[in-house]
Amino acid sequence: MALPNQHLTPQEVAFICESELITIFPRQRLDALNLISINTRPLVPPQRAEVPLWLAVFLRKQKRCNIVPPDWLTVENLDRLEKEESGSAAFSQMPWRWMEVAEILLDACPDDLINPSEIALHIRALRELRQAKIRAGLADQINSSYIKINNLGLMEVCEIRPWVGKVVDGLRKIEGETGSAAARKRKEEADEDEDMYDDDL
Amino acid sequence: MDIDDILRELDEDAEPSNSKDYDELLKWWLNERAAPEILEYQDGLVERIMTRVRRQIEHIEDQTGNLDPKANFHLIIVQTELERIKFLVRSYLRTRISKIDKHALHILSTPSLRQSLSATEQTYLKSHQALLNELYLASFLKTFPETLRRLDDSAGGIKMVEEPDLESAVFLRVMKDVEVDIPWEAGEAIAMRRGDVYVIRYEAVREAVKNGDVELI
Repeated sequence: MALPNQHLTPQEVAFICESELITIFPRQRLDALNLISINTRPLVPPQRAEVPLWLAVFLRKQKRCNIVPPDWLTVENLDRLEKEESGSAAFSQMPWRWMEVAEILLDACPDDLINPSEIALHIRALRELRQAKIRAGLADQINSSYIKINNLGLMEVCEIRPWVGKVVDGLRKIEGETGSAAARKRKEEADEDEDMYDDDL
Repeated sequence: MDIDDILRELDEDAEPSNSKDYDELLKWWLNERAAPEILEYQDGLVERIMTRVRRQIEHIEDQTGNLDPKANFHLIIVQTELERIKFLVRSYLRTRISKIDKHALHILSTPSLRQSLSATEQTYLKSHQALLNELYLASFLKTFPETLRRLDDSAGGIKMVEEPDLESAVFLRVMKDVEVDIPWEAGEAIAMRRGDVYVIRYEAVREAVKNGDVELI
């Protein structure tokens, strides 16, 4: 277990992702399960069913099911996203947990994906394109009072979090010393209070 | 969410469905991990989850003797899931304990923060502090002059009590459209839209986190 006062580790991000539901194609019957986090419905072979990702991966390992990959995880779609990503300065819309889902599925069930090696290449290219953009883009924004980082996935957010958090906090402290508008105002108020106090004496 | 969940939600008095409680636990675990201060203890939620954990353990104990391979396979799944839940609960509680240890004196002296601890956490906080005080006194404080023995001194402009830095930056995801005032830019507000991701000082979104309008990550 990671130290509790640290940021989320990649393993923990993957752990959260494993609670997401995913569609599977059962190969064997399985009765309904009353679990703590979910009541699954009975799995009957020709019917698709939705189960948490961790259960899907577990059943897949035992060859009791096939995983139906999400719509966006295809070579065509990733190719389109990659073009979009390199063509514009904004981040293209990706699912919140795209990196984790892709990683887990590529690892657990490459056979269920169409052309997994190609998909892996695209995921990697996307990731690199986006990382470069994050580095370039944040520099302009980092000095403002808040930063909006839409369309970044959870894993990407957690990657930049240690340094972005530190930089924002560091800038705040520097500002506090040299005197941003807000800090100066606060200081003036404090001085006034002090003056009043002096008068009383 | 299936039809049972929807029906159950209509009936407000009924206990929330297990998948909803699980999502809540995930959310509060993440909030607790990211927030600089200690948040309100999710009493009812943890209680409901722990009841289910106990029930599940009983189920496992009942079924362990069952030699039917099918039941065995079920048990493996049930046990795997149990471990996942236990990890979450444990990490949630440990995160809280680490904050209690870090800001012990601050929490002790702030009634509103003390209220947000569970009964066991309050007992822990008090007895742990008492032990520490005793140790400090016995090992070095007693050799100090009387005036220098206090552990919560704020003379000279430096406080001895460590407080959480409410201005530190947090990352968050917006769950419900919400307007957030920025206290350090007087009069300015941000209209946050569902699904947006922000980096902002914690003090601005403190209320929104408590209401569940935004989730920290």
